[in-house]
Amino acid sequence: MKRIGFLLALALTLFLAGCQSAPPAADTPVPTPAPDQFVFTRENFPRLDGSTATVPLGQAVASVLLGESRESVDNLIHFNKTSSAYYNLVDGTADLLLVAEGGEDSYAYRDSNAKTWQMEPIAAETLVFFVNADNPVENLTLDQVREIYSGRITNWSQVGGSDAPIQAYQRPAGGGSQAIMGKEVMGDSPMMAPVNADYVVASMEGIIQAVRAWDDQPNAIGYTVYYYANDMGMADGLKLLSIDGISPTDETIRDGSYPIHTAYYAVMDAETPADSPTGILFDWLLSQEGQNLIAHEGYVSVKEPTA
Amino acid sequence: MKREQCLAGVLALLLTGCSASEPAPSPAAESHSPVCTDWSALTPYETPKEHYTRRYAEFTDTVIPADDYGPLIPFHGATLGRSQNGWTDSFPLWGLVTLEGEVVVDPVFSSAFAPIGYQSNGQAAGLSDVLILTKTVEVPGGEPRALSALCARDGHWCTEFLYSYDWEFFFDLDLSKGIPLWKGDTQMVFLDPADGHELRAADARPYLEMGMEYPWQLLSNLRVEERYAPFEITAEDGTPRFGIADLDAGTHILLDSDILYLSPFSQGLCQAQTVSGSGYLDGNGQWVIDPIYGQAGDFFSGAASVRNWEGHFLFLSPDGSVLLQAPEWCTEVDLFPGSFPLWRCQGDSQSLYLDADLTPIELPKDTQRSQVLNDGWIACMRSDGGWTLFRQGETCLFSSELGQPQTVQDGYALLQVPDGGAWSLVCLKTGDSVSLPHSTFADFQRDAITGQSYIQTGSEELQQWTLFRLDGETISTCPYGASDRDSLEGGLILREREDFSTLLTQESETVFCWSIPTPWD
Repeated sequence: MKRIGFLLALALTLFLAGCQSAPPAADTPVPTPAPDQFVFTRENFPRLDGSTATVPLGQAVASVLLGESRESVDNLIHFNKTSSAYYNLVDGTADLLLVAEGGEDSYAYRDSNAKTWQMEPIAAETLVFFVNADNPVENLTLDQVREIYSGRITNWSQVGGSDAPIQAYQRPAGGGSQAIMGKEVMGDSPMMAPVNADYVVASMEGIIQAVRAWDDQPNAIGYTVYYYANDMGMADGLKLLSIDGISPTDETIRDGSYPIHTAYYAVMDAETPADSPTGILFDWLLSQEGQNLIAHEGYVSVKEPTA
Repeated sequence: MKREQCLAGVLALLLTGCSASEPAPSPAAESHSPVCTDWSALTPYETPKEHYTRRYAEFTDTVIPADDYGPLIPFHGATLGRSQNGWTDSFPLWGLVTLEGEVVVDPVFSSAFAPIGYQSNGQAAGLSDVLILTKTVEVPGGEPRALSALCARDGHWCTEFLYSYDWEFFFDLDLSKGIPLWKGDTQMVFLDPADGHELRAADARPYLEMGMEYPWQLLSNLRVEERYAPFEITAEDGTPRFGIADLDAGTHILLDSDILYLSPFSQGLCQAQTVSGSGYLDGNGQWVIDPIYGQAGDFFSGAASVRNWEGHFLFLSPDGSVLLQAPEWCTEVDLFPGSFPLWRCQGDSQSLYLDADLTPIELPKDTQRSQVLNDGWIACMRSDGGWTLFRQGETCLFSSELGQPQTVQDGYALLQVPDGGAWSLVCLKTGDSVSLPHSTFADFQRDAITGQSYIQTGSEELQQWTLFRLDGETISTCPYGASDRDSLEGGLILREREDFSTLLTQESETVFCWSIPTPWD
């Protein structure tokens, strides 16, 4: 199984590598700015920060606004992960965030520094739950998920599966996934101690379990954000569960029928002038073209893409 | 078989899917966008493509000794979370890979590094031929426990995972003489960096039974060539009490309660501070040099500097006789050990340098002020604003435009240009110089495997780190926000990021790429 999983991953990697779109023709005309259009340059480009999951988006935004390749703008995209990004905005070392929802500490830090933010969702996001492809369970209710992760449901037979103990894997605190899990799924129910608490274990079996937490665990359930599972190939060989009978798709996430809701946000200091480069970029992300770019990059844009 | 057929089907489907190329990136959708955009350069996001081979087909969680690995490089290969006291922290795990990109050990070590003995003067002396590998294991109902092994850099031997270390063990120590480690719960050992065998072992139980609050302090106060080590316990009345352990005999003595501080033994003597002054004790706790000095330093090469109560500095021999009196203007004496050891007597406006034999060193004429760099080099500023580098008869002159020398390595000097935005790199032999522009900081680095020197600079202006060869050519750049700076390992560029670790040739060819499987956000 492990080898098959590896080969599948390899095959998918080859597929993805081979399927990249051809680069634009060398003679693609470079757009000439209209007199009333704002032109971003490296000198006026806002200092972006954000989550690991929004790095591809940050690169794409810089690429399209500066007319440079993704590789060329890489040195402009210093994303420091969700929590640090919010802190950097407060500290004035970032101008604009493309970021997952922050934890309470981020808001407390903002308030203690007497700052206010302008914050708008630019892409819908959710948590998806996955199990091994051999697991017969296809759907869980949100209540069942909550019961599993609070330790009250412990066997797959309690949710229509085989008689086998549930290995409920968690994500590390401080990251966006765990913040969403706590806020959008668990609510007031405390999460049980994670089964993957050991970060190093002595046996080979244990290490495989810890390092390759999602592989080869027929009784495991885990979760991550949709973007990773759907666009970055994190769920190879695994099965996404529907929740309350709704499968996670671009459409069900955008229209809100999938029952877990969160978003990626554009965030800037509320005092930022609207006609500053940061203010202009903030508005552009919410424009139809900005939303088209977000969808083009594989995120679930809050507006239906038109291209 | 069924699985192989299934796999073949999946592969076929994937390959079929590849035949249709994805459309080019979308053009701007709005004809009246207030922002000028250009989608022509936008290419799809590429997740890192893994690129490596494996020595062993199965997951490998320890070093299997072999003679043909060549140098092994630790790489960050996984990041795991661990819940503890209501918090979850992330921990990197390290594997070992060859210079050919062959994975020898999967990422299982909570640390893997070549030990470095940091010196009190800020310099460091690393060992390049060994690695300390650490596995952290869970203890049911208790704190996790880290167990380490010493491993040859090329993997041809590796000790068992029996040892523990603390960074304090490596402070002010020449690790080539032996690597101090704690073995199990009760033994202190020095391991030979040549083959990992125990050069010296001492039973710590007699001292642990005394209720020592920081038992590891005993080892950090021990030198491999010294028989004795000072220690500190808390007396019944709550006050600190110092003692001296004879580690070979497993005995100890407790000293009078007026002892306020003991330094590690050096050349058989231990500097001791009492309420009435500082002096030197032998291993039996007897005063060899009475505590009559206001300040005292460790012995080095048969001499120690002390300051008497009149404020004058003296150099003493181990029997307490005065070898030399420092000039009256001297307000501070510093020792710079290493291959070219120096003493410096520093005053408000002048300095006197002495070699290890306490012979005065004559600085070049026209020296206005001076500072000690590394490896015995002294930078002397001339009246024309330029600088002269000086070491035991060697001199190199630099014009003021090149800047102020900051560090020297392998026949090259790095100078900081006065405006702070650039550095100069000068070959001491030829005098040839190259500018390292956009550099706020610069320092020499050394490839631990090849011994090759290179330069790392940081640019506040460009917000990036850059590696340069000694000829001034750029090796690599990486942004400040990257999870780690690039480094050279065996002539390859080791690049470690949040989501992948890579080894690249200096021509940017990928030798190894390992995708780190945990997305954090």
